[in-house]
This record gives sequence, C-alpha cells and structure tokens, in this order.
Amino acid sequence: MRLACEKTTALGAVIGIGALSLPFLLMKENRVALGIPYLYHTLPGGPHVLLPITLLVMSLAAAFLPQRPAVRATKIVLGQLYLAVMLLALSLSGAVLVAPEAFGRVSPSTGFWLAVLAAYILIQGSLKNAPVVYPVRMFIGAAPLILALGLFLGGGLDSWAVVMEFANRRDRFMSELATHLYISLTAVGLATLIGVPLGVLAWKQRHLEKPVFGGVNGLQTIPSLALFGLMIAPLAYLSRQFPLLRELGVRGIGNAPALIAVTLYALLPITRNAYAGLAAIETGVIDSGRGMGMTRVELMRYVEVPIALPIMLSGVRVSTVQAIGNTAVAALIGAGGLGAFVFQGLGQGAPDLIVMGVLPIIALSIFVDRGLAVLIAVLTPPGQKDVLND
Amino acid sequence: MIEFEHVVKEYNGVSAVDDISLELPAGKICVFIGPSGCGKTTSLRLINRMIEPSSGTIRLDGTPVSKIRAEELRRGIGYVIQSVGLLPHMSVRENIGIVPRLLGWDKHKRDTRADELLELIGLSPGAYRDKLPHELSGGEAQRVGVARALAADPPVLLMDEPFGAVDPLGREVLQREFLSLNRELKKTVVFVTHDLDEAIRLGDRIVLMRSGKVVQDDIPERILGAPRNEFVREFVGADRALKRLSCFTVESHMHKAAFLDRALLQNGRPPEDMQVNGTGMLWIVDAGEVLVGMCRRSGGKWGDVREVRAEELGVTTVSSLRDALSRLLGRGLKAVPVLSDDHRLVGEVRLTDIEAVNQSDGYV
Repeated sequence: MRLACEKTTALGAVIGIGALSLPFLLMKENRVALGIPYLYHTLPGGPHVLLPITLLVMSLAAAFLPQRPAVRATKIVLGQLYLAVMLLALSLSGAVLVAPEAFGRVSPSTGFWLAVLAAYILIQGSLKNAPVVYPVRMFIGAAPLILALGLFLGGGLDSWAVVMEFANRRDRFMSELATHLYISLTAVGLATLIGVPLGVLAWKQRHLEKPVFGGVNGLQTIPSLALFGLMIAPLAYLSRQFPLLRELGVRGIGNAPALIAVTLYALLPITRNAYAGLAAIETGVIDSGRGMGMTRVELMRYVEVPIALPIMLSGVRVSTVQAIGNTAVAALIGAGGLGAFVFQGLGQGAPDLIVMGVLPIIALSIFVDRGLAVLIAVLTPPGQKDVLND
Repeated sequence: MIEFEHVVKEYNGVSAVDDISLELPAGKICVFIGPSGCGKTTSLRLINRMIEPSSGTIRLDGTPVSKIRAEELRRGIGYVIQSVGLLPHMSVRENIGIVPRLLGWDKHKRDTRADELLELIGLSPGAYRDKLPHELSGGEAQRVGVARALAADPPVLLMDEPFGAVDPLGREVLQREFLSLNRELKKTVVFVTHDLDEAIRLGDRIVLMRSGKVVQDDIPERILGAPRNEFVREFVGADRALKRLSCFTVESHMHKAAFLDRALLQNGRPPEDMQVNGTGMLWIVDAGEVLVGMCRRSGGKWGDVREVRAEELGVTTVSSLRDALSRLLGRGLKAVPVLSDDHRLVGEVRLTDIEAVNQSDGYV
C-alpha cells in the first residue's frame, strides 16, 4: 500500500523541527548591545524541548493519515499548541534572563520566527478548503494573536525589547498613533474630494482624460521623499508671506506639507477608480436609462452610483492603505506619526524601536484594508459582485 | 400617429437627416431601413428627443414633441435598443418596473405588472422575476427588454435593431413572437433595422433611407415589387422576387383542396372513377379531417396512397408564400396542403398560385 502524504502539513512540521535548532531568542544587556543567542533547549524557562518535538512528530504522523475532518481539526489544534509553547517559552525565559540585569531585555530570533511560520503553515494548511464558516475561520486564525495580546496585557512579554520600548513611550505612542491616523485619513478624505470629481470629469469630457491622468500618474512617479522635500521651500515661503497661513499651522515642515504630499499620492487610485467605475457602465445601459425617461438625478441614483460606487470605493481602499504607509515617511519632515519611532530607532541604532513603529503601521493597514473590504462587499449590489475580484 | 414635418438634423454642417416628412399611422409597425449612416437611427431618436432636430417638427398625436418635457415624453414611449441595456444590478422584475417606478407606481402594482408582462412574453414569472440580467440568454434578455418597454403600457414603441445581437434562429423566433404580440397590443411601432428580411417580415410599412433622405416609403410588397429607382432595386437585391413572397400569406392565395376520407379507400386506393381538378393531388384525411396521407393521379390512374406527417408536409394559413414555395420545391410537388393549427386540412397552395403572384402588379 502506498502512503499518501499531505505535503503542506509535512512541510510545516519539518520547518518546526528546524526552528528548534536555530537561535530562539537574543538576550541583550541594554537596548543597543549585541545579543547573546539562546537555542530552545538551552532556555532557562518554558516547557521541555521534548514537548514541541512531540507536537511536531504528531503533526507529521497526521500528514500521512487520510485527511478526514477530525484529522484536520487535530492538526489545527497541534499547530496552535505548538505556537502557544513557543510564546510561553519566550515569555518565561525572558523573565528569568532579564531579572538580574538593570537594562536587560530579550528579542525573538530566527528560531522563533521560523516556529511562527511553521505554526502558520500547519494551521492554515489544514484550514484551506475546509468546510468552516467565516467567523470560525477568523477565530482560528486570530487565536494566536489573542494569546499574544493576552500575554502582553498580562505582563508576560514585559522582558521583550519591543515591549520595553513601548512601555517607555506609552503616552507618546498614543499621540503619534493619533497623528498618524489624522494625517492619513484626512489625506484620503481630501483625495476623495478632489479625485472623485477629477475621475468623473475625465469620464464626461473625454478630451480631459489624458491631462487628468497624466497629472495624477506623474505625481505617483515622484519618490515620496522627494515630494516631501519639494514641499518645504514653497510652503515655507507662503507661511512667511501670509501670517494667517502660519497661524493655521502651514510651515515648510510639519503637518501641512505631509498632508499635501500624502493627499497627492492618494489621488491616483481614487481618480482612476472613479473613472473606471463609471467606464464600467455599458453605454447601452445609460442610453436605455435616458430613453426610459430618467432625469439627470435619477440616472445617477438608479444607474451610475450603484454600478460605479463599489469600484470607486475599492480605489479609496487602495489609497487608504497607501496613505498609512506614506504617512510613515512623513515623519522625516517633522510631521510626526508612527514613522517617528522608525526614524528615531534608525538614528539610535535600536532595531527594536524600529519594530515598535513598524508593527502598528502594518496592523493598521491590515485592519483598514479588511474593514473597507467588508464595507465594499456590503455596498455591492448582487449583480455587480463579479466586477470586483476581491 | 407620428408625423415628421421637414425634419433636419445637422452635425457640423453635415445632414444626418435631411428634410424628412412622413406620417406613421397609429397601430402599425413601421420599419426604417437603409445602409449604415443613412439616418435611420437618428430619425428614431428624434422621436423621443434623445436627439433634438436642427429644424422641422415632429408631432405625436398632433402635439409637437418639443412642447413636452423630454423625460415625460420618454416615459410615455417604449424604448428598446440592440444592447438591451438592462441595469445589471437589478433583478428582471426591478428592470421591468423602472418606468412605472419613475412614474411613481407603488411596489405592489409594479411587481404585479412585471409578472403580467413576463407571462405575456412567455417567460415564467416564478423562474425569471428574481434573475439578474447576466443570468439571461441573449434572447431572454431581449424579451425582458421588450417587456420593460411595455411596462407602463405606452402607445408608441421605438425599437432600434432590437434583435440584431441575437443569433439568426433566435431572431426569427423573437420576430414571430413580437408580431403576434403586437397584433394583440396594436402599438404604434417604429422599428430600425438593416436586415431586409426582418423589415419584410415585420413591417406594415417600410421607409427606405439613404444619406438622410427617404428614398421610398411604401408597403413591403411594393418596395420589392416596384422599386422606385436603381438604389432600391440594388438594396433589395437580385432575389427580391423570392423575398417578396414573404409579404404574402398562404391564406390569401390558397385554393380548395380535393380530399377523401380514409374510410372510403378501396383496397388502399381511391375509387378509380374519382376525378380531381388542377394538380391531380388528392389529400387523404381521417374522420376528424386531419391530414394523414396523399395520393397522386398520373396517366389516368391513381398511384399508391402515401402516409404523411401533417406538420412536416403542410403549411399553415399564416405561413408566407415563401415558406410554401420552399416546401413545394423541397418535396417536388405541384401543391402543398394548408392546415389549421390542429392539422386539419383547409386548402392547398399550388405552384401556379405563386407564379401568379409575381406576375401580377406588372412585376417582372
């Protein structure tokens, strides 16, 4: 009899075992010191190395069984347990290691991240094509994050370098997060107010299509750093000339140029999708709408908006995710935001501070992206579902 | 009734419609036909003010259309176009209900009307009302397009190549359905096509256009039988004699047929002393007068009775002479039987009848 092997699970298990032979965490005496690596089995705390090995061997064995629902479920549980063991080991060892040191801290290393990858493969590989409804699927995916969050809130991750950087800057973190959201969301708002009419204009007046898209495409090709730099001189000049503008906060550096630059970048996806949304309406549909006696407003209400809106909104979605990323760069010209931590970390040679700035930016992007995707799905009429691929 | 009075439409000094005057009678199907760019679609769109004329007047039942607010005018005129233009995000029922909705009907009334119309166009309301346009075949979408145009029961229908995007087989079915539908509804229909066969099949009147002018405005048989000039002659083609036969129904040209009840056959043959006139064809029927066989007399003797399937051999009263000719040639017969809907024998059409049609009216 030939043994059938579920390759994804096998791969996950093998990576998991490999992860145990690599440096699992780094112990640092202070925030800029080079770390001392620890392998899993040399850790002073956490479950014995035989526990994760057993979990992985069981997963590997499960890969050779017929993939019945019960087997799939078992693999998911094994993957979750494996990840929990890793987090626990990191938390417990960290506490033991930093105890004697005044500025000591730990960072996860290659072995830990590889273990996370292995767990992801084990869990998602078994979830794929599984007859699981969406909320359950989301919960299974989010379970490790919930565990990590619980550990974090319970103080279990206090020895982590990233967490320490955060603890030292808790108040500033919140205000930078607020600034970050303010800049990126305001910019998207402004870009929508400008971009949608531009897209509509390009659609209505075919001769304006080229100049409009030439303009917004051109803006997109300027490197973001250069655009921020370009903004400094003219805004500084304006600010000096007009006291009113200065009072409003318009200066060569800071919020105003950041807002303008991020807005300009957000323009292309919004303008393009506003145009594409309208262009997706077949001419016959508009002709028959008019022919049936729709007024201008009725044509918008019954035809143009329902058909174009989902596509327009997906432009806003792309722009928002981009704007959150671009706002990080805006910290360079003193606009603040989470990027400030990244550049501070770069300047101080403190990688953990960089990570502390980057993680919430990523989380924010994913959160906003999914949120808008749900909103778009709700607003898309049933007949238009095939228009959007996502 | 729709009247065109010296209507001109110019684009940058070029006339798309060049001084047209026409009267389109109420309750008839009037077909605008001509090569592309002849102004037929422009003429149609002038009626519901999708295009405004440069000069001249169009009257709808005596009122100049320019005196009616464009939206109001259009809500009172059914509009069907080649691409159908169903709203992709609305169900079939909602699509049919658009004009009633614009007119402020309540939902219950709209839905009842939509079901009624689906029934009328031969789509089961239960199966179709909740479908989305992309779930319909081309022919179904086109039927829904017609239903939508009829929703508010407008007296006038404008149809711009409505069946043009449907495959030839489906197109004929749609044409036949539409013809019988309008025989019942008696709408004033303005129909644009470039397909001459379609124009002949559907039109009570054909307006042949070229370069924005009306070349000939006539009943179909005269467009084919008495082309006014070389352009018309060329446009209708060398086979116009054949096409012209489509204009005539069997009903108006059939003869009484000789027939015999099956029970009266002697040894499987008609009585020797039975005589028939004309083509020498004798149709054998059963007790219910349904055609079951035929027999030919040649050299003063009856041949064998051949069993026939009525629906394969016969034509119906509403068939065109062209159909009849096709049967005659296909079977190598001198006459074909004409049957009622339930296959009872009501007469016959002879090859000589068809020859006579093309020799009448001085047609050569």
